[in-house]
Amino acid sequence: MNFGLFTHIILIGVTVFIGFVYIRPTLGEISVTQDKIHEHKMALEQAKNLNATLQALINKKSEIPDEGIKALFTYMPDTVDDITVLKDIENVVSRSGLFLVNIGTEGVPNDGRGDAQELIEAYSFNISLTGEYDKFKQFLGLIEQSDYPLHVTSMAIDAKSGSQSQEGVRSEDDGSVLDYSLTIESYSLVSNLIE
Amino acid sequence: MPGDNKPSFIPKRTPNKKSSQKKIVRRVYILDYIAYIVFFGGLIATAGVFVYELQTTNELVGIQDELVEERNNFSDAEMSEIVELEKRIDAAYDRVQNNVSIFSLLNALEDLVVESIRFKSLHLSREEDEKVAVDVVVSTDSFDSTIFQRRVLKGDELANGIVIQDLNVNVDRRVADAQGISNALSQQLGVETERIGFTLLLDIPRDNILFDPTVFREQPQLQGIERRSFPIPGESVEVDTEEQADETQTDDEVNEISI
Repeated sequence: MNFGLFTHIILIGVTVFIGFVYIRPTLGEISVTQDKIHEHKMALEQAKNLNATLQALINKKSEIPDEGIKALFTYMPDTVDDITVLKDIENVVSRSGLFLVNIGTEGVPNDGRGDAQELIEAYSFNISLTGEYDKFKQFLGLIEQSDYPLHVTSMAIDAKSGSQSQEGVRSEDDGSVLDYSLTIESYSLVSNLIE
Repeated sequence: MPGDNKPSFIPKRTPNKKSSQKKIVRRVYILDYIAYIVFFGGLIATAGVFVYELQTTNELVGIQDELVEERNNFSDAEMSEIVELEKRIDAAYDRVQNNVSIFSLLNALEDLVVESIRFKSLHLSREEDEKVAVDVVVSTDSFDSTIFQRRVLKGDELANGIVIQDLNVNVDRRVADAQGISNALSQQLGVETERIGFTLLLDIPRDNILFDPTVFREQPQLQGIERRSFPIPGESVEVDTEEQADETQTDDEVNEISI
C-alpha cells in the first residue's frame, strides 16, 4: 500500500467533490422533502378528521326520519310562497268563525330576527279581522299550531262600534264583536346561503 | 615455536569492515489510511444519502397518494348538503326558541285583570325577540279599582315593567254621580258610565309566554279552550271592595304611576 501523494489528493478531492456536488444538495432536498412530508401529514390528518366528521354527520342525518326532514323543510323552507300562506290564513280565519276584512303582504322579505338573523328572511302579512273575542283566540291558537312559523309581531284589538258593519256579524252586536289588526311573520332560509 | 605459522582458529578481525546486519524499518502509511477512509466514507455517505433520499421521496409520494385518496373520498355536495341542513336546523331552532304564544299572553292577561277593569283597546308589538310590549287602554269605575289592579299586576311575574299612565277622570260621570243618576240611566242619556280611564303599559319578557306545543297537543282541535270574553266596556262590574278599601286615593292621583 503505497500510493503516491497525487493519488491521495485525487481520492480526497473526489470525495470532497462528491460531498459538495451530490451529498450537500441532496441533504438540502431531503430537508425540504421532510418539511413537505410534515405538512402533508398534517393535511392528511385534517383531511381524515374532516372525512370522519362528514361521515359521522351523514350517518347522523340518515338517522333523522324522512318525516322529520320534511317537517324541517316545511318549518324553514327555502322560500315562502305568499299566496299559499294567505290562503292558509284565510282558511284558519274561516275555521275560527271570524270575518276577514283585509289581508295582504308586504311582498319584499325583510331581514330576519334574533341570533339567526343572517340565516333568515322574514315575510310579513297584514290581516284585519272582525268577530268575537273567543273566536279570535281560537284563531290565534290555530295559527300557533301551524306547521310553519306564523308569528304575531304586532296586534291591535279595538272594541269599536259597528260602524264598519258586516252582514251577520254586527247585526247582533252586543259589544262582544271586536276589530283585530295583526301583522304576522313567516320565515325562510336566506337564499344563496351556502355560496 | 618460531616459524610455526599456523593459522589461528580465532577469526581475524578486520576493524574497518562494517557489520552487514540489516536494519528493519516499519513505515506507517497514515496518509493512505486517511485517503482510504475519506474516500470510502464519502462513497458510503453518498450511498446512504441516496437511499435516504429515495426513502423520503417514497414516503412523500405515499402521503400524497393518501391525501389524494382522502380528497377523492370527500364529497363537496354532501358537505354542502350537511352545512345547509345545519343552517336550516339552526334557523328553525332559533325561531322555535323565540316563538311566543299570544294565545297564552291573552289568557294570562285575562287572569290578571280584575272584574271592574274594562279594556277599550289592546295593542301589542314584539320588540326584537326579547319581549312583547303591551299597551292597553283601560276604563274603570273608581280609583280603587285602579289601585287594586296595580297591586294584582305587581304581585304577578308576567310583566317586568308595569306603567300606568294617562290617568283621567270622566267629568260627565262625576256629575251624573253627584246628581244621583244611575248607570242604566247614564247609558240612556249617553253619559259615560266609566269614571276612570288610563293606559296600562306592560313589558312582557319572551320567556314568560313561550309557546308550549303540549298545550295544543292535548287539545288538538282547541275544543278544550275555555270560552272567555274580552274584558270590554259595558259589562258587569264587580269590585272587591274589601281589598280596595285600604288603598283608596284621591282623584288628584298623579297622571303616571310606575310600579
